[in-house]
Amino acid sequence: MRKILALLAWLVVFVSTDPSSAQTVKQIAKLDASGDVYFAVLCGGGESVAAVDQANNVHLWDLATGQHHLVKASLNAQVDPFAFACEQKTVAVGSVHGTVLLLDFDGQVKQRFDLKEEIIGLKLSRDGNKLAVSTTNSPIQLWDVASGSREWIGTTSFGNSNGVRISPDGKSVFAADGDTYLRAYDIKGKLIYAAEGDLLEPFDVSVSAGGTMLAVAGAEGRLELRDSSTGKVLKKSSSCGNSIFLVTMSPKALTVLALIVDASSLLPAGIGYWNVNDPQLKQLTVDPKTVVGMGTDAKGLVLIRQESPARLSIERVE
Amino acid sequence: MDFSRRDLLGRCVAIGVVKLGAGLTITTAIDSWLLAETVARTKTPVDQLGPFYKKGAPQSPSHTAVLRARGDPGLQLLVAGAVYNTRGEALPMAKVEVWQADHLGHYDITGYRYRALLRSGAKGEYDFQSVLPGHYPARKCQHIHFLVQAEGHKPLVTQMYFGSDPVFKGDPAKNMNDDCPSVELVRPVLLSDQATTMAASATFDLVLEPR
Repeated sequence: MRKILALLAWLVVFVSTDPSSAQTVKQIAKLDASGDVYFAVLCGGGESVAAVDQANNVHLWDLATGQHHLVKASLNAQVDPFAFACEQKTVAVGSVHGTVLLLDFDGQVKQRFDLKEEIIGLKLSRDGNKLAVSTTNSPIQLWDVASGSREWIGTTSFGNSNGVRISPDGKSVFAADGDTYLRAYDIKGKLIYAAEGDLLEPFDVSVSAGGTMLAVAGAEGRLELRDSSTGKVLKKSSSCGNSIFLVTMSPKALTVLALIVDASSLLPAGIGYWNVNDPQLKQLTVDPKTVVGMGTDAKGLVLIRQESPARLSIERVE
Repeated sequence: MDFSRRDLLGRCVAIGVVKLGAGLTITTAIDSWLLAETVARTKTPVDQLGPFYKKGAPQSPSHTAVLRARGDPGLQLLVAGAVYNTRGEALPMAKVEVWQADHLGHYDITGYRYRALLRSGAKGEYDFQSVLPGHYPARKCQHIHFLVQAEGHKPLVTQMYFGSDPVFKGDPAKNMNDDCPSVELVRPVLLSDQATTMAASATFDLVLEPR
């Protein structure tokens, strides 16, 4: 998504916000880095961290030992920040020209797909066997990692899917669609429901560890807690007044992290934090220019920040 | 009274100027005649929906709409065109939804400024008055978004761009930008002096694929 390219400035732009937060952000690990990365994810439930830099190098760290490993993704085009996923020693990387690479941790190419549309989102199933893909112009697609074949493509009334997720049990797939609907499919591609959203587009969806709850957010600037089996909205946060591009829900579905971007410039404007029992969407007192990723481990929400070109900081949000 | 081509052919048959061969009905004859007269068209390239789509845009009662308000800053712009399918048939009553940034590159998220939904006319025609959209940091090229829907056809999501955009350095064919997926979407701009105000106009035909 071209809008995502604005996030390449994530590391160099700071949009002033008015954070108010009682949340604590505690460092749980420091990782030595060899330069700036612009997007990072947690792998294997928090065993490792994967990141991509602007030269399309994939950086891998073992969180227990801090060991760093560099893998070259042989792509001839820019990687979209959100077109990057990691699970079970598999890294998925997608380019703005439509190539998806699946690499193992040794850098061996397991699969290569050419979709001929800009890849804007990738999510691997927890077992690493399925890959959900979103592009600029098409509905969600589900690919089989082992065979390298597309299993199905979803549907929209018009336009593309934005954020996509596979449930932790691997049985359901969710898509935040540009036609303003949230759609759920079973793993075979059967549409379970299309739940109407707000007036503006949803950009991302996150699934709780138990698979029962969804966090959804987008251009409306607020977070929604939805029942994953029906898509029904259970709770809504206040609006931050800007767009939310990325959401991560804690394992027990009690708290959510959100990447907030300025609705006009599409540049990062803050990191939102929502306790679902409090309608207020708060902002963490972290400098968003340093945040390169977010995720969850068994204990809860995790931020990945680049303190300096030589250092990544892994931090728990409580 | 404005007769359609179909009406006129029907009258020709009725008064005997056109005679039907054995086994031909008026309907099948006219359908075949009209099909032979149409020119196949290439479908309009798709482009991303973008992050600023908002449903519920104000509906125009006709094929024309005015997006700009009196006194709005920016270069006045008239966009006109028609909706066809790839068989070359004009598509009346197609839903044409347009949205764009203002002259400074700002989208109206809270309201519906520079957003409209109109219906193509009897010959597929549509037009709207607006201002030339501005640039904004996340997109290099000036553009207007289109969502076009017609019964029996696949929805078309696309954008139009402007040959006058500095990004193209005067020659879009040579200086394409990754921000624009196809030179076919870059439209020439005609400048005209409307009494005291300079205005721009551009045409943009929209070609849908049948389902």
